[in-house]
Amino acid sequence: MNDSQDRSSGKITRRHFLLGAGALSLAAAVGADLILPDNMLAMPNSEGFLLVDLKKCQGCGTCMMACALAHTGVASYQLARIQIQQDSFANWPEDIFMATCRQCQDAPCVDACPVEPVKANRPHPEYGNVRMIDQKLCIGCQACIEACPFTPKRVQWDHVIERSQKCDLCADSPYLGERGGPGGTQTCVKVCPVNAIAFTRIMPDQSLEESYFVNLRGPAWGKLGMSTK
Amino acid sequence: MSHPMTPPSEELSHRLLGTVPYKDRLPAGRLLPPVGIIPGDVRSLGELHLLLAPDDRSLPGVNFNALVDWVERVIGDRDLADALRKTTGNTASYVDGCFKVYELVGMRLTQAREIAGQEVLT
Amino acid sequence: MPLYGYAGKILRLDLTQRKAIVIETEKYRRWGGGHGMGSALFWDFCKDKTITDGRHPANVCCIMTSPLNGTIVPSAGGRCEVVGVGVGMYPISWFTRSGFGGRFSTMLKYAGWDGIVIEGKADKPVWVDIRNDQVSFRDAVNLWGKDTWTTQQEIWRQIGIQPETKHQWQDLQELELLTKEQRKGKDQGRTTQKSAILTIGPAGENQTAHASLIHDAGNGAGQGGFGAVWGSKNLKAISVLGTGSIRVADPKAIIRARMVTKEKYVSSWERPDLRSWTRLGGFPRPIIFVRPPTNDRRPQSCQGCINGCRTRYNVGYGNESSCQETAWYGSFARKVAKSPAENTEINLRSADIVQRYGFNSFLFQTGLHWLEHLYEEGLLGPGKKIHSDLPWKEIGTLPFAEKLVHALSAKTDIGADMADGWVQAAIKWGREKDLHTGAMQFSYWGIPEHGYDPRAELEWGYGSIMGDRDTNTHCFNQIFTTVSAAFAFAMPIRIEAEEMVNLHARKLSPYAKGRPEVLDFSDANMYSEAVAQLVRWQQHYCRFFKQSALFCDLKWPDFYSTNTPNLEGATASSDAGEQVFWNAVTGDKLTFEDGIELGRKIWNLDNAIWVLQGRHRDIVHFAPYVYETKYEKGELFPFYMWPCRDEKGKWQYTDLMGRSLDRGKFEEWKTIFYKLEGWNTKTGSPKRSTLEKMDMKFAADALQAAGRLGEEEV
Repeated sequence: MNDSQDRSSGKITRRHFLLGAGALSLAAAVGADLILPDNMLAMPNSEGFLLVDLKKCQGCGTCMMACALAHTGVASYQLARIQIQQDSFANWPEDIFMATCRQCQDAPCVDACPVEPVKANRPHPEYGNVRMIDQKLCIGCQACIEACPFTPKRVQWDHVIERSQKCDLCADSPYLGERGGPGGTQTCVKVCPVNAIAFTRIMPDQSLEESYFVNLRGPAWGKLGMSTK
Repeated sequence: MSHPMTPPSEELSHRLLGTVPYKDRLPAGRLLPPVGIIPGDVRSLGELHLLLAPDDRSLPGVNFNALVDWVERVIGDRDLADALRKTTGNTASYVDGCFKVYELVGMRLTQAREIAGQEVLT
Repeated sequence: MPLYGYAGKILRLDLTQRKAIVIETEKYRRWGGGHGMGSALFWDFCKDKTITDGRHPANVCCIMTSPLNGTIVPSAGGRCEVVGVGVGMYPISWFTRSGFGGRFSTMLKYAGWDGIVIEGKADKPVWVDIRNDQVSFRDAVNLWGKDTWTTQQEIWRQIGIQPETKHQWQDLQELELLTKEQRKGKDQGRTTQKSAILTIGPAGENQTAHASLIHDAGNGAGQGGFGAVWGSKNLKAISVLGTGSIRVADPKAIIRARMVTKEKYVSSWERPDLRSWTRLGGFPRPIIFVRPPTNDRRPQSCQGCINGCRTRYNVGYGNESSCQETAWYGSFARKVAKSPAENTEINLRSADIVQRYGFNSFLFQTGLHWLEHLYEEGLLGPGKKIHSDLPWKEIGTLPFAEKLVHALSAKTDIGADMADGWVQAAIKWGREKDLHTGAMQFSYWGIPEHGYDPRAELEWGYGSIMGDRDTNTHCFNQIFTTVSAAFAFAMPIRIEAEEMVNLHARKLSPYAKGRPEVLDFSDANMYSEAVAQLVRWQQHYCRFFKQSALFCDLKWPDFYSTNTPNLEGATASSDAGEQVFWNAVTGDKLTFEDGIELGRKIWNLDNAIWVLQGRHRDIVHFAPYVYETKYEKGELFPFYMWPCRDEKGKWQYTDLMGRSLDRGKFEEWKTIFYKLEGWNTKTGSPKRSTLEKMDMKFAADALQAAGRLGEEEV
C-alpha cells in the first residue's frame, strides 16, 4: 500500500500523521523506536526497492556471486543477499524464482530485532532508510530471519560468523568501487547480463507479493524472439 | 510473387508429394553456428520445403543448379524446374534465392495437394 | 600465502575402498586448474599410463574446476573439465578431455573442493554424496537403470531437497541421510539451492563407447566416453551441495572488469546491434537447430555467463538442450515432419532422448548418415549382412530415435558391435572402404567430422589430429560463419579480410603476433610454418585459458568486436582480458603470454601421456577420405569463406571448397609442427631438452624408462 492509496481512501492513517509530523524521520535519526499504540513499530519508508522480472532471468547467478563479492569480498551463494532458485526440470516460467529483499514498509525483520538501545536491523537514515543490519550490533538471535514472512526468507544467516545479513541496496558494499545505497548503484542491477533486475524509488504495493515482479522485457527482447508478455 | 505454373497432373502431383529413392537424393546441408555445416539430404519436395523454412539462427545449404536438375530429372516437373531456373538466376543474394525457392516450392506443393486431394497445410 | 580463487583441497575418491582422501591443491597450483591440474593428477595417480581403453580399472578420471569458477568472471564461472583415458576412439582411445557447464563446478568450489579424482572400482553401483566436507558413498542399486533426469530428481528426493523451484532455506544438518554425528556436528550452513549432480544414464552403465556425463537437464560432457568410464567403475552419480565461499585476491578489480565487459564489449540492450560481429558480446540466444517451439521461453546459462546459449520453454521438452544435440536428427526429422512446428518438436524431443540416456549425440553428426547409407544400400537391416531389427523404414520418427539410442546404449542390435567404437564396428563389418570414399565421414581418431571440414578449415582439422580428439575449439571459425552468412545475405562485410586477419594477429602472441599470414588457408599456404604456428597457438591457448582456467569456448577468445570503436575484442585487453580476470581472482601477475606458455606445458604433459599410450607420428593421420576425396563445392553449402592472400599478396575472402589434403605435404607439415614444438620429428615424442626447460624432468624420465623419449635432434 502506498501513500497515494492511503490518500484516496480519505483516511488519515497514523503513518501519515507521523510522517507529516516528521516524527518518523526524527525517530530514525536518533535510532529510537517509535512504537504505535498497537505495538507496531512505525518506521520511515525505504527510498529504494528492487524489482525483478521472473520471466527474464537467465539463471546465471551472476547477481548472487557479485552481491557476495561486493559486500564481503568473497564469492558465495549463501552470502548473497539476492537468491536465484532454479529447477532444471521445470518449465518456463516456473523454473526460476528470484528472491530479493522487499525493503518492507513495516519490516517484520526490523520489528523483531531485540537489540537495544539501537536495533541491529533498522532503517538507516544515512542510506535512505534502507533496512540494514549492522553486524557489529547483531547478537545472532536470528529473530529477524524467523520474522521474515517470505519464501525463501530474505534475511540470510552467515553460519561462519553467526550473524544475520540482508540486502542493503549496496549501501555498505566496500568492494563495489562505487557509491551504493538508494542514491547510488546496486551491484545486482548493474551486473545482470539481461537486465532482469531494476531499482525504483516508488514503493510497490505492500499487500501483494507480485507487485515486485515486473516486466522488464523491452523491444530488443522481442526481437530476439522471446515473449514480452 | 506470382509464377504461374499450370496445375500439375494427378500423376505428377503424386510424384511431387512422394519420396525419391535413396540413390536419387539431393545433398543438402545446414549451416548452424557454432556447430558448423550439418550434412543431410533431401528426398522429397516436402523435405526441401522444410529445409528452406526460414529461421534466424541457421542457413540452409542447397546448390541451386543441382536443385533445378533434380527437380527436372528426378521429380520430373519441368514447369517447376523452369520456374526455379528463372528465379534462381535472378536473385539479390543466396538467401534471397532460398526465400524465393521456398515460396515457389510451397506453391507447387499446395497445388499438388489440392489435386491429390490431400490436406493443404497452412 | 593464501590460495586465492582456490578452495584449497582436491577430493580423491577411492571407489574400491570407498574412501575419500584429501589432496592439498597447493601441490598442483603450478598447473593452474581444470585440465592442467587434471593432467598432473592423472600423471600422479594413474599407475598404468599405457592403457588405451578408459574402461580399464587403472584409469583415473578427474573432474576439475578452476579458480575462476564460482566467481563472476564472464563466461568462466560455471565450466568444468573432465579428463582421463577415453572410450571409443580409434585406433587408440587417448588420454582426453571433455567439458560441461551449468552449476556443478560452482557448487563444488563452494563445497570446498577444487576437483575430484576418481580411482578404482566400487564393488557395486554407488553414488557419491558431497555436502561441504562430508563425503559419503551411497548405494546406487535403485538408481542403476534410471535415466539421467530421473536419477537427479531421485537423488534430490533422497537427500531431502525440497522439490519446488521456490522453497525455503534448508539447513544442511536437517537434510536426509545424515548420521547422528553429522547432525550434531559443525554447523554446515544453509542453502536455497538444489544440489548439483553429475550422472550417467543407461549408456554409461552399459559402458558403451561415447556415453556421456550429464548435469541438470542439458549440460553434458559428451566427448571421450566418460560415461562409460564411470560405468566401468560402478559410479552412477556425484551430488554436490556447498555452502562455503571462495576468497579472491582483488574483488574490486573483478567487479570492475566485469562491468567493463558489459558496458564496453557487449552489445547494448538500449541500442541493440542484433547482427554484431563478436563472440563475447552478443545477446543471449539459444543455439538450437530449429525454430524455437514457442516465444514463451527464457535464455538459460551456466553460472557467470555473459549471454546464455541455452533455453527453457513452457512446452515441456527441449529444456537446456542446445547445439548439436538439437541437430543430430534434423535431416531425418524433415523426412517425416509435416510442418516446421512438428520438425521442431521431433528435434527437441530427440535432444531430450540423448540427454536422458546419457549418449553423445555427436556420433550421429555424420554417423547416422553412414548407417542410413548402409541400410539404403541393402547392407544393414533384418537378415542383412549387418543384421539389425531396428525399424529403419521409420527413420525420422521419434519412436525410431528412441529405439536407436536405446540399442546403442544397451548394446543390443547394432549397438553390440558399436559398443567399442564406430570405426571399430565399420572394420568389423568390412566397411573400411567407407572411410576412403567418405561415406563414413569420421575424420580423425574415430570421431565424426564436426562441421568444419578439415580440408577447408585447416586449424580445426590439424588441431584435432595433432591432439587427442575432435578439437571442438571455436577460436577462429566465427570468421567462416559470420563472413559466409554475410555473403549469403549479400550484406555488407563489416570487417574486410585484411583487417580481420590483422585484428587476430595483434592478439596471437607470442608465436604469431603481428603475423596475419598464419590465418591464410589458401592452397599456397596450407602446409606452411605459419599455419603450424596458428595451430600451436590455438592448442596452447585452449589448454590453459579454456580448458584449465575454464573460459567458455563459445565466447572466448574474443578477437574482434563491432561493439567497440576500434573493433578490438576483449581477449588480451588491458581492461577485460583473460589475464586481467585471472590475476584479479588469484593474485597472480600473469601476462597473456604466460598463459599461453602454461598451455604449452600442459599440452606437452598430455603429449607425454599419449606417447606412453603408444603415440607415434605414423598413426597421426586423417581418415583416408580426407586425402582421397575433395570437399565438394556447393554440395552441402554454397561456399566456405575464409580470408586468403592471392598471388599478389592481397587479402580477400575466398571460397575454400573443392580441395582435399595431400598426404605427403601433410607429412611435411607435421615435421614442421614437431620441430616447432620441440618434439622429435621422426616419432613425435617430446625431447628431454624440451621437457626439462619446462620443469618437466619427471615426464622425460618416465618416457625414457618406457623407451619412448624423443631423441635430441640438431
